[in-house]
Amino acid sequence: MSPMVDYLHDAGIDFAATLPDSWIQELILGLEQDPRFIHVPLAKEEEGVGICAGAWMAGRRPVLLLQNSGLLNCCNALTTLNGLYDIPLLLLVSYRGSLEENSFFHVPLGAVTGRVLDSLAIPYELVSTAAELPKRIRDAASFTRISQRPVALLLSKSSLEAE
Amino acid sequence: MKRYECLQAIAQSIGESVVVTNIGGVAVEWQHLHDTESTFYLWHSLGLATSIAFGMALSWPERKHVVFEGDGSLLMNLGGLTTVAEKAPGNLVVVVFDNQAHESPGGYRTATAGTADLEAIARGAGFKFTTTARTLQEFESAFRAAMDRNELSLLVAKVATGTHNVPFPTMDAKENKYRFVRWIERTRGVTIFEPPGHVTKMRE
Repeated sequence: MSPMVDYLHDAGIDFAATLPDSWIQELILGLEQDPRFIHVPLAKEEEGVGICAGAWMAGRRPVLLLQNSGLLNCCNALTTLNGLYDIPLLLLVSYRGSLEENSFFHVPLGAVTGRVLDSLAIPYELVSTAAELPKRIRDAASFTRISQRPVALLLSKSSLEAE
Repeated sequence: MKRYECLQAIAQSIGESVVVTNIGGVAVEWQHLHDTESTFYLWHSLGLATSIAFGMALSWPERKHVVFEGDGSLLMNLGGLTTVAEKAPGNLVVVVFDNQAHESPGGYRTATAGTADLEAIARGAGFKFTTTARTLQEFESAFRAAMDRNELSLLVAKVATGTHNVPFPTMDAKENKYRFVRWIERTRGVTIFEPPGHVTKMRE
């Protein structure tokens, strides 16, 4: 089982909305089977931004787990919902198309992901190794709550493979 | 049938249910008719009203949640209906005011003016209780039925275009969020806004 499930729980997360990517499928399976989380499998990523906003307002601490292609689908909601109301959201994003990529069709995503987050004024960090995961997740989960702004962690292949 | 009449008809029976309104005339009308701490007004993000109410309903299962949707909004996020129906929270009532138009930006027709049937789509997605109302009487009785059941419900109210002439709200999005979330904190006895304890800790 993915140790990430425990890292998320330790960071106070208790609600997860997800869309699969092969890099994070073990984590999604772990969230689905773990009663400490409400897990919502999504049809498309942008609805997840709304679902997580609702969950936060009602007292949960959500994470939105997705591929960076899905992050691009969320630009409007992150701006006109989280940006308009100041609503926190922890975004865990598999960083497809980075230099670790071996599927050519993901390459365009890697080139724009960081710049899209910069344009959305969403603070983010790259997680390079699995050893960094617990602290990065704890820090990001805390930062999104105190800032009431979305925060993103870009999960490298190395950080997920080494599990 | 007018949307304003429908809202008037149910305003007194909604109690302390959580209400989420879609963008546009419905938010303005509801704020005039029945503004309460338990209401969250969406001002943008067309398509997400039901998703937001669904996230709330899953997170607060003991409380009834009502969302005032529109046809244009729902058509923008049809896949979201399947996400909601998979979990099927029995404390969520989706009311779709179907005026068959994108009214706010000029009234251009939506697909429900033609062949699209939102009730059939919701039923196909897996909603448990669905109905379409064409008169005020049908609407009132369908709403009462949905509120009495403990089943995921979607009501389509076929309404004319037009927003009632009421004053525009003065409360902005952030103020609405603080009021709404503080009400949930008090009502549920939970802490949602991070207390400024970090600063205290640093000084210690």
